[in-house]
Amino acid sequence: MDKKTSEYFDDAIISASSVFEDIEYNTDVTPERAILQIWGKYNLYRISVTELVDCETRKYRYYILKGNRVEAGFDNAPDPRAIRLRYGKIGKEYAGRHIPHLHLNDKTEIELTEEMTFSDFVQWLKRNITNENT
Amino acid sequence: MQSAVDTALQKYLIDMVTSKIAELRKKELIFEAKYKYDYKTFSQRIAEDEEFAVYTENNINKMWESELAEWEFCHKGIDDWTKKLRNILMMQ
Repeated sequence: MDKKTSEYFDDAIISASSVFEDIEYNTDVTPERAILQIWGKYNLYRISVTELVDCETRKYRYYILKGNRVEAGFDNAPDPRAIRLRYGKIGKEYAGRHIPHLHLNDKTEIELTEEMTFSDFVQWLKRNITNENT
Repeated sequence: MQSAVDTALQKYLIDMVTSKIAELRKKELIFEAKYKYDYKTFSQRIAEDEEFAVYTENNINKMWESELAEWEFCHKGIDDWTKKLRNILMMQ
């Protein structure tokens, strides 16, 4: 794992430890890539975080769950619904492109977003998920 | 003496890398069984087929994106470690 990724993972774990309860995390590396997974609780919500980093891309998944319901989920997966929102259609020419987006209302709604970092996610969480929501 | 140390170190590295490959393959087999596809087929189809994405969310895993990232780590990680193993063996 390069120094930049290592520091990013360390910062995310420290931040998660201070913001979430019952935190668990896992990291693993290969010679070419690194993965970080974090699970925790925020108020009554379960939080699931995955970061996959290689020399070219950073893939992220930030999910807020209540029971099995996805209250909100930020990710940049090549989701066909996000691809259609971005390009107007789904096709092989767009397959595999990483499109930052947000799932809402148990994944029945989707909107495009800017690229997110873990820090952005925590800020969003603090702004949008309060005790009033729980 | 140095040769014996080098041989022992190399054996240690080979064992470690072989173990990593086996561990990642074991995890990948779980994903293949769960999603009924290999990594390449699933990752291509889920990116091109909206109905398949909805079917996957409703019937297999609502957060397939998270497992796809972990699956990618396992699948490509096997290649990464296999290349490393080849390099170690070439040093013999």
